[in-house]
Amino acid sequence: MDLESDNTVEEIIESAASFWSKDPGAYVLKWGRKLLRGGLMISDAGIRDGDTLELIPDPEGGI
Amino acid sequence: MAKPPKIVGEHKKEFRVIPPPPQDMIVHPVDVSKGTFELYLTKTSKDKILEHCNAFADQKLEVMGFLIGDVLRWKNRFFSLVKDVVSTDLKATNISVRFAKEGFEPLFEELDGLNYDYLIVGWYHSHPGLGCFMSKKDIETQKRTFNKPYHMALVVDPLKTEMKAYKLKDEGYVEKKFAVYLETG
Ligand SMILES: [Zn+2]
Repeated sequence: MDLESDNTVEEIIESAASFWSKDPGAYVLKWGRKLLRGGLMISDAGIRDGDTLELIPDPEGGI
Repeated sequence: MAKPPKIVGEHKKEFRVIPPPPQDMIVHPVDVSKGTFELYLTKTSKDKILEHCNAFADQKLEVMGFLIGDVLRWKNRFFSLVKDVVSTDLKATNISVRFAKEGFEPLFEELDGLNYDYLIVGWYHSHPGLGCFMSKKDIETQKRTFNKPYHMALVVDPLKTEMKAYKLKDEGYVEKKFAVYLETG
């Protein structure tokens, strides 16, 4: 994924979700052991070229 | 303003060709003559799920976690193999459950501790005293996050000692038979 330093976590989730036809609201973004929050920018998070980011499901059970 | 993130490539995970666990390793169901299964759980994983569900059964609180393992291919059929389960701090009532926000980082740590290239092949959650089925919300979750053909939902009622596996089918869901096997080594 090509990113710019002022892309936000929310934008990453939205782009990945749209590419793989997933629902962006149902996933969180994992960067190593860190949970990346929505408005955070790439530069502020400290993400570097070549880092792996993973979409992790945020499921909800209920009646 | 930044340009939106751009996906520049895609790497698809190849499903390895490996036979399912042999019949003499299967401990559930007792009668394995009915052919193959779409879901195999190690006995350790099954015990870990039951232990988790039982720990909160008295308080009638739901619990939840991921089914971790791999998807394999054998004779033009796919099956999921659950080798581990992971969970974390939950936000739960007797009719709802999800991961607590502060639970994600410990969960990630657990995932990173797995020493193989894992897949999240589905999720488990409990319905203490309510029986096993997929509620409207469960089906919605399955459609939003576990909508690949191999994705499973395992529902446990620890009070009625029931465990059932489901997959999406059309607009609803269908029950799938599963097997529990003893891993070697
Ligand atoms: Zn449920």
